[in-house]
Amino acid sequence: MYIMKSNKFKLALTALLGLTLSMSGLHAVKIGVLHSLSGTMAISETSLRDVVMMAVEEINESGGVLGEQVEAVVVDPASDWPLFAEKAKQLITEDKVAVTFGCWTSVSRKSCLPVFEENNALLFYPVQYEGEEQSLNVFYTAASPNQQLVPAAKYMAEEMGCKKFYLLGTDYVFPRTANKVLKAYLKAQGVPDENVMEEYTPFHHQDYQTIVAKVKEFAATGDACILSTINGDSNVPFYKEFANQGLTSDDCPIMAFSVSEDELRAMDVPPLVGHLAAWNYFQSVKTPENAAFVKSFKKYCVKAGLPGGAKRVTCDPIEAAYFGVYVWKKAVEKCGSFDVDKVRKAVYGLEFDAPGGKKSMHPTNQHTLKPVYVGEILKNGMFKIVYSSDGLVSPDSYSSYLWPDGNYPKPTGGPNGDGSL
Amino acid sequence: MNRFHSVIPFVFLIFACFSNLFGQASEQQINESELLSLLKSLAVDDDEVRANVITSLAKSGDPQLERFFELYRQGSVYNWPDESGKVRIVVNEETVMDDDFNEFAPLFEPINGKPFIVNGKQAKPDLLDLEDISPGRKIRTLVNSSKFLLRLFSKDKDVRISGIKKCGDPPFLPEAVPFLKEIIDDPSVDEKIRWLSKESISLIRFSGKLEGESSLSDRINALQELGELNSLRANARIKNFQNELNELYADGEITAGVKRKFDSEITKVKGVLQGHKDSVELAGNLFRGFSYGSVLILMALGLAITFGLMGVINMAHGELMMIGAYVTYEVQMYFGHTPDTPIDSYYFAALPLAFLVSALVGLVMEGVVVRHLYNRPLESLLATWGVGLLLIQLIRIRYGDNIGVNSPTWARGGYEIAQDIVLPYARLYLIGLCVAAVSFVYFILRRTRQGMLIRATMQNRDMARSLGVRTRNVDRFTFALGSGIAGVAGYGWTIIGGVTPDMGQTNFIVDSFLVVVTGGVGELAGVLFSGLGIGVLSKAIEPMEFGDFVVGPVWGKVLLLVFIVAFIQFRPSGLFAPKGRLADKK
Amino acid sequence: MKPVAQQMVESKKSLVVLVILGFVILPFLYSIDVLSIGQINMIGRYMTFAILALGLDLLWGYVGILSLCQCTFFCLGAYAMGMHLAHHGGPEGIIDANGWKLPACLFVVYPYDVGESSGDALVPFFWKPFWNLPLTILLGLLIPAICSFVLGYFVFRSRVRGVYFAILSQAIAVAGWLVFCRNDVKLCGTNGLTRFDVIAPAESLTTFHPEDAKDKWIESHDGDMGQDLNADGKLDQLDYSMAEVGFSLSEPNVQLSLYFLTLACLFGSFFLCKWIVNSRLGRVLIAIRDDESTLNFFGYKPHQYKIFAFCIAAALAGLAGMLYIPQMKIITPSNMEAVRSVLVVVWVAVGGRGTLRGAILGALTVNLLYNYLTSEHDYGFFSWSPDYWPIFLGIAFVLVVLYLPNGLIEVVDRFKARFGNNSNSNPIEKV
Repeated sequence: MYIMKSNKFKLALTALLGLTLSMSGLHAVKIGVLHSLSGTMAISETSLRDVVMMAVEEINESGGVLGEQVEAVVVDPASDWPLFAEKAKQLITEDKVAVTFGCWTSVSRKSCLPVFEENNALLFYPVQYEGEEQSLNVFYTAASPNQQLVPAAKYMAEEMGCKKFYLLGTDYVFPRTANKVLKAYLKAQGVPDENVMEEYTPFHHQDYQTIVAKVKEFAATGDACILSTINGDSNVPFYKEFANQGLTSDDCPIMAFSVSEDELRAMDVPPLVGHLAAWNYFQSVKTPENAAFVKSFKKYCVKAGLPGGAKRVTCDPIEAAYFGVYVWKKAVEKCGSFDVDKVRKAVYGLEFDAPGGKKSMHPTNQHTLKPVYVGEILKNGMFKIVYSSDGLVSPDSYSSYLWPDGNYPKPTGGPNGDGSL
Repeated sequence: MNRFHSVIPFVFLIFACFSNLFGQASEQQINESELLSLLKSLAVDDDEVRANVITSLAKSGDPQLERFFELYRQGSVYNWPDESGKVRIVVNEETVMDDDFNEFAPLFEPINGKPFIVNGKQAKPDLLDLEDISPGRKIRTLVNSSKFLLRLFSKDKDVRISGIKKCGDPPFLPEAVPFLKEIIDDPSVDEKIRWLSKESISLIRFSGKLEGESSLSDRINALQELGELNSLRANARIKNFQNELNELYADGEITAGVKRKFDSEITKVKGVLQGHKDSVELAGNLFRGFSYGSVLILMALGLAITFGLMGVINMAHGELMMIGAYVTYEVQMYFGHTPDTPIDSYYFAALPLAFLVSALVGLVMEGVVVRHLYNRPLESLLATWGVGLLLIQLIRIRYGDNIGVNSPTWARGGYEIAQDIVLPYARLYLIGLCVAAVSFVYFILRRTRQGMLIRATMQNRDMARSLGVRTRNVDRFTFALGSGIAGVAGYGWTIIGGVTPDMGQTNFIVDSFLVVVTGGVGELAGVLFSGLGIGVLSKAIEPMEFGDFVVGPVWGKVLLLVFIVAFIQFRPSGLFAPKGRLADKK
Repeated sequence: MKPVAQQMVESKKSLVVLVILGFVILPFLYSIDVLSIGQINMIGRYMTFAILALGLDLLWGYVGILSLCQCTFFCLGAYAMGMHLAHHGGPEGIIDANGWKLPACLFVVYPYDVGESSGDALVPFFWKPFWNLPLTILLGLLIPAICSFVLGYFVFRSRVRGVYFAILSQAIAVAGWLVFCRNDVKLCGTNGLTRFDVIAPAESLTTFHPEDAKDKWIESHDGDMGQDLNADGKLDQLDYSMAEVGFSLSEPNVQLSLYFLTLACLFGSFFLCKWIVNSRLGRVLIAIRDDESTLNFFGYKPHQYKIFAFCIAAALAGLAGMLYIPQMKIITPSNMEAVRSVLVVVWVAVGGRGTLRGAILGALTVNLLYNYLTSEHDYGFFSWSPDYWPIFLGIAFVLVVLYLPNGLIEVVDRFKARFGNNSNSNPIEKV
């Protein structure tokens, strides 16, 4: 009933494959894809659906997993948080999927987390988030705060010589927690409290005049920067106002944590040129594997007739969603079973090749070891990588800056429902 | 490695250059081939050599090098071994893709930025063939400051200004002082640039980084100069200086008397600067209030017609604005306006089109839905909400995805009307657009026959009809006019904000209704006053501080909403209440 | 408003059918595995929406007040219950300096100022009353009622009505949403309240004394020093709350019970509303809708009646919210976005404004359709994409407003009048 249909997105191949398989009675393993295809989050999440479908197609072409073809069951939670729980329930109990790939916002993950824990199912979550969570039923393939925020702040302090930090964000949980971690880090680095400013705007905030005027005053000392967690459509008016009031990246560089290549497609880029962003992957990562990945993603978008076509770009969450499928495949092959508990154990410590280079899964805490990059925005909407970490950075599920005693909470969920394995 | 062979001659060359540099450095330009060979030595894996080369290059004052330094810092300068095995130094910033999505790096000359020609065409090797020569952090920092030094000689005014400003910012460039003095003494240079140079010199002296003038009294003198300049940048740094003084006093390095003397000097300057800062802030807040108010008026103007005059609660008003914004986007695409090939005229062409298309959509809406609901205002609210939902989703399916409207180039930056008061061009344009739209509507309603008919119909429909007014046509025209104005508002919005399918619901609809309700239904003047009032008020509330509590945008908005709700208690019909018969109808 | 709606008779028969359907048939289908517990749970949640719609229908259909902030009241109730459940929630979270458990959902988003650290996090004072279940239920009804009373008192007294009230209430909804999204009001920001575990554990009937918590725990385990359940190296209240007995929200039986409870509340609310509109009071309410000025001349004070109806509607919304939360297990500010409240109006308008059955019918129909139509379906000749849902809703809604002002219930009744017994089509005014 929820099998991805071909007609709208012309994913004829996948559907046809699924159809012939079910007709010929061949066994196929089902996986769930839980990304919003309508509503406000569709803009971001559709790309993740696309890249997961692409990975599935690649896997099927190369013989499937354990000799079985993979059949993707796509549902649309419509950017409605309660509906995420609803659809997750459908995927697990009715479609009996072996694993689910999905969610973007923290709140969507939080709302379907109880479902995954109650049914002991597995979710691969591909977006950088605020941390402070460790469920045995989720694998987090994107950054935890210490893999994005802290290295970026360090870069601003050491490379750009910034001594004052303006923490500016949209008022929701990621910026709040991110800034909490950043404040704790800056304090530990000896930055005095009066050199740190914190400011939040409502969702969809559009009038940044007053804030930019404040930034201007704050940055008059010449050694300030902005660490921005502004989300979505507020970025456009913010950067425009910033440039229009005569500020440049020389006066006050902006380090953004929520602006990726995909978001830049929707922006008037010239006011952003020279500003920075921190991620674990950029389309401009220079490896042959990445060139191949970008190439096949673009080809896939053209072939499937997706909006944007050849203009589509890859970005950090897209890479994380993509390699998530391969991590699962590799783990299944390693343990020789689709059983959730066995797969989970096989994922721990797994090393794998991703488009952005070799990465590995943490041996215990469900997150991923990743490199950290800082990129400078170019006029064509791409990033020039100006900093990359030495090797992989190990993830924190709970931030060591917020739990200074190291007495982290226990994980949740799992086979026994109480966080034990 | 062949690049090491050349180290020793280069070191000599550097010294040769240094000896040249003692004179009028900015006029002493090194010729291009020498430059090129110097640049090559940047690839040498020896920080000392690199540092020497960079310093000497910086002092050459050759403005074309500024761009090169920027690229070098960024890591966009490469060694490229071509087919013959010869290593060349090249620049590549952005990559391109062919139709098969293979990525290539088009190469450019390092100094003049022209395409790097090999065999008659630009070389485009695979990115992986290029050899990274990006420097370590120490060198990058040096390159960065040298870059600003070079900007002092730039021909581009903005670039030059940023260089001058940066010299006076931490970590400070005392070596720039002689060049800055030159600029000040040159009467042919722009007044603003000379003023900034003065400020930067004083800031360097105030920081104590200028050799020979780093004593405390020198620094206080510099501060006094800055006070005379009304320098806001100095104002922000006084606190650090005071901390420094306190530390010195605590360490016993200065006496209480000296400290007291300095403190009183500082307080004097601070008073002057604070006064300037306050007036800048006041003017800024006023302008911001006006500009926000003009956005609100634009948003509410169309609604004042459809809701105020006709009594239709058009919940699709925000979607009509959204359509205006998407028309602007389409026009931009048709003209081919992109950041690389700006065609600014598109923005003027989009104005009438945005008006017409939105008016057309409004006309259809009126004909299909609204005309059945003229006497049922609450139901018009519901039906138009349904229409809005439909429009949002249609646009979402058609455009699907993120779209970006690129502002015309003239809308970037701002006009400095007085020292430190910058009025962004985009905002000024919006204020102008608002004035034009209000005058247009006023003209139609008050100075044309059609406007007279509209007023007659809205005041007493039956009477108008009995006098031969075709009220159906009047209704159509009025609704289309209101919708068209909404489209203009959406068009204007693209210059300051983003464009999404649901922008109407998330950003506009609640605000514009509040403006109309606060202003009073049925009066254009009401919208003007309430729009400006709400704009100025919200920009006055936002920066307020009560002790530790800063109001900020979120609480500002909440407070504003509460304020409006309270206001309506006292004036249930708004600022300009409709009088007479009209009052009972709504 | 045309009098047709009032003339529709609330058929006793259809009510009986509903009772049988809700209490017998659906549970039976569940017991023979035709319906999963997930679906029962879903219907339970949609019934809370029906309660919400009943309140709005009372207000809009009978008094003519269009309120666009009903979801704000819904969320007030839901947050009250949410705070209660979070107090007794899962093992995550920390113990604050006063001995209270700071729930995980609050701890994560706790807004320290610059310079503060995690040790400074305290359970806010306004969380504390919600430890106790009876008090929570009381507050869950009272808070929305009081808020609506204050708002109604000012607004209706100064004769703000019709469209003005609709727009004002929407402004209130936006303001409320903004406030609840804030992290520094300590209601967990946009992530909302989550990580619920049990409902109605024994301790929730008591008042919480942090200093006793540990002793009680030890006592209840016969002096046995107990286990360190959350493995943090010490025995504390976290272990205590993990060990307490309650009804686990993930148990199918508990979910079924919640379904029955919701159903009972739905009928309760229905009869309450029915009683109100059939009483003398109800006549006055309808008179306000039809001609407020004339009523004024007769010496009535319409604003008092309006405030009353507004409070009842808000309390019903609060009740709906309280029932929704344990079945949904998460409440976020997105539930109170301005659009949500407009959706409630859509349910009522589609079902049939001015008839109580219509409100229930509308809420259930629209939501079930929503759930069905946000998945992909292939009908052979035509394939449905979730993208079409807003278009479908938009068009359906315009059509209902234009051509079916009395909603779906009118269709149902006409159908019955034609094919069923004719006694119900008797146009006696018996609302």
